[in-house]
Amino acid sequence: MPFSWKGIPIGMLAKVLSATLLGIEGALVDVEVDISNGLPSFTIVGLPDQAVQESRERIRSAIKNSEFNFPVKRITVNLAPADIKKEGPAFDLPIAIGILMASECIVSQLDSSFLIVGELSLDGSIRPVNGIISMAIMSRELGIPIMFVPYENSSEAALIPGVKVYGIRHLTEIVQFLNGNISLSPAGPAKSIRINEVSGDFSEIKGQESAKRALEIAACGFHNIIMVGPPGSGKTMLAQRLPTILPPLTEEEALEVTKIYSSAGLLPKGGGIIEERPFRSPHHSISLAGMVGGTSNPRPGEISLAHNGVLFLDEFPEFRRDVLEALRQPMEDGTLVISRAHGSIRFPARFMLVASMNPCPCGYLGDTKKPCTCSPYQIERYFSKISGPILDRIDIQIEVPRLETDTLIKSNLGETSESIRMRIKKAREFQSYRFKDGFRANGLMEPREIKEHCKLTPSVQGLLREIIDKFHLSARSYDKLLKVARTIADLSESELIREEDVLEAIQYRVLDRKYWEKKFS
Amino acid sequence: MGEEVFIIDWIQLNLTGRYRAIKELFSRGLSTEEIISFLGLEKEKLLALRKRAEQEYKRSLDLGIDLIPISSDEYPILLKNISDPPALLYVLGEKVWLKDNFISVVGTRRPTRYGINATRIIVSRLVENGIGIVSGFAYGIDTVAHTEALHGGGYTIGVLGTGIDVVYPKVNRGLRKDILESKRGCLISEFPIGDKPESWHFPRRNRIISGLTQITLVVEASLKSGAMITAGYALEQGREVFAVPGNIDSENSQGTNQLIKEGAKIITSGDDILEEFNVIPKLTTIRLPELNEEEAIIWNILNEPRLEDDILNISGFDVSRFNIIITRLELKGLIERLPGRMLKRKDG
Repeated sequence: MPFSWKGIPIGMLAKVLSATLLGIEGALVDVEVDISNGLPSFTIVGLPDQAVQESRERIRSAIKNSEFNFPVKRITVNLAPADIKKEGPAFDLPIAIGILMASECIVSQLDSSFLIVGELSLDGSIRPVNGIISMAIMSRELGIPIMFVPYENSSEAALIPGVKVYGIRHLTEIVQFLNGNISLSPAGPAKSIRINEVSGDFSEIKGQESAKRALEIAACGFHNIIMVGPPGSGKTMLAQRLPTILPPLTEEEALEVTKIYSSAGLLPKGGGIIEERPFRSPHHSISLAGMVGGTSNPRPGEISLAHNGVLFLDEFPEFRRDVLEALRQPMEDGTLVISRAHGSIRFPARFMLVASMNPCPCGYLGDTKKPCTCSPYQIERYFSKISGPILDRIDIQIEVPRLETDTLIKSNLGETSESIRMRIKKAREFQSYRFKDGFRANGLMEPREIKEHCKLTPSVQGLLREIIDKFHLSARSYDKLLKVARTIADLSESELIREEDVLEAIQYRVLDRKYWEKKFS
Repeated sequence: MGEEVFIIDWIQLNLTGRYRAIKELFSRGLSTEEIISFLGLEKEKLLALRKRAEQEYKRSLDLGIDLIPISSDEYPILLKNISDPPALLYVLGEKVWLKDNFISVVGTRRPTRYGINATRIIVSRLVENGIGIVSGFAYGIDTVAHTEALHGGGYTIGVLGTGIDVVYPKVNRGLRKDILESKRGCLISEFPIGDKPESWHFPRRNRIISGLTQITLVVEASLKSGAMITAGYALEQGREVFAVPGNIDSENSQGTNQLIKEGAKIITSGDDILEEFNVIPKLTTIRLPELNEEEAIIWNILNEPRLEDDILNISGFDVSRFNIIITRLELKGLIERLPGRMLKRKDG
């Protein structure tokens, strides 16, 4: 709209809504464009980062190459609120639209407010941006009815009902639409997409019945698990198939996961909703920032990418000490809070930890064929790399031996993931019925809850005391043992923890018993 | 006073390292002074050795170390008969060689499961029938042999390749303590107090291991292992070498199989050795444990150490039930767990 002073027009002002990402949440940004007389210039204010500064060049070329006039005037762009850092190229399109509105190339025919995001290329076509789904969620919450997004992001944004999404391919397209010259149809929601490279099925794993049973219990009670075994024993194969027996993602969980992947720019091309549980297996050379996310512009790390799924850490003792220690807080709270000068950002990080390690540095301790070449001192040192507090958060500890070929041939084909998953689903229902207040897994019980939910009959208590004496267990492992026994009881839908449950549970606490550390005795 | 000078003489002689000559001269009935003069050492060197010997004597008193010269009645008779016995032995613990028959058990420092099991089976049988175990206190087979001997309530002697007061290998500090506290074993060494583990010490101390006993049993050894050196000494000393056979594709059995080819007696059980000592083996008390039907199924499958997954397959139980039964058997102390998800019956 034109400003005037004593009847002479001196400038034009336009305002467009856009959004940016704070962590994985969308935040509203007002893009204000003022065009006034004076020496030609183009400035952007409001805490823009380098990518936003560079957008000036993209915008100028894109407008020119779309055969509109780039006003030869003094252009000031303000991104408000001014105290949030603005990052990335997603403001290209809203700024360009703002300029075209202020110079009256666009006279919007829409009677409601709308939100625009998108990156421009020099010819005026529009490129996809990250975190669209979070922005769509924000639009719905703020009651903004219409969104213009890059065409390739449109089906992702359309996952959120209540917001009309238009996918835009080129700058001229949106200009003509806003001017009422053409009509566009809103995008339909995306199909589900896959993110895991391997998924497979439990029936493909022959033998290793004990390990499979342990994973079933872990999946059922959301217990973290560590597998100890020589190279080639199939630890990775087992871990990779764990997501297939976890109950399917609920709608809400699926949206959370999609949000995280979208904001990290990890959604496959075309976008869509993620309906499988993530499986992340970072290499042990990963940095602290890579694991928990962050540095100066917070991005979700591996633990957030594993949210609602499985974080598999192969060669557990080889990870850097600080990286492992940083897992402690998220393992407890299910979220990670990164504090920065501009406020703190919360990343969801409720994952199931699956760790694996060799029984000794060379890997062959206990192998029937190859001798172990480690000295007992090396083995002692290898185990001491995992700190007590971390081990304390891992309820299930099992050994996975390398099977001989004839064992593998003799074994029957295993149960399918689907039928295991059915059992787990039933047991989880039983669990949440017991916890009354919705789903709380056994693995997440606090000491007070353990007392409440793990009541023992006197005879079971006696047995437990005998077990603790016999196997020299610590007070700490007593709690873990109870939690695991509770889950085993849930699997057979028993209200009480029975003797059998405790007897079985002790078989999933191998590290407590340290029998292999005494190598020769 | 005379006694003290006498011991210091022997320490001094031991420090010269001229074992062959010393033995030769001593067996002709020469006194310590005469032997010293016969060795023809330079005056300065003699003085230096004398000074060290005096310090050595003082330290041995402080540390409670027994010094046993070759002239002593307590000196092991079999060791006295080899061509180069140490002139003096440093001893910590009980002098158990005076009490019983002994056999040397040696093997690789990096044993396989098979080697460990074989050692346990044979040693426990020997100890049960009153045969003590001499070994080299290294890790691997040596450690298993010493430990099993103590567990079985028997005698054991560890021959060190370091000074008697040096804890080496460090991880065996627990075993060292166990041997000394059990009053059923001792550590012996020919090296001066405080001597560090030098690589040339170990082959040399092997002659003491074989020299202490009539029989040396090699359990698991590759062709180039220290155990083969010990076997070589045993033959040189006119002693017998026995060996436990192994798989031909296992590197750790190549040494033992080689010994067997060269005429070593094949040992497949403790009783094979008891024969040599003319000991009539005690009947193994077969105490049938009280088992319920399920436990009996597992127990019967476990006639040898087996992989858990194999037992599971053979028994046909489901995993959950299987784990319950295993814990019951463990609680009853009937079976034990080995690294690599193996189970075995607990012997005895």
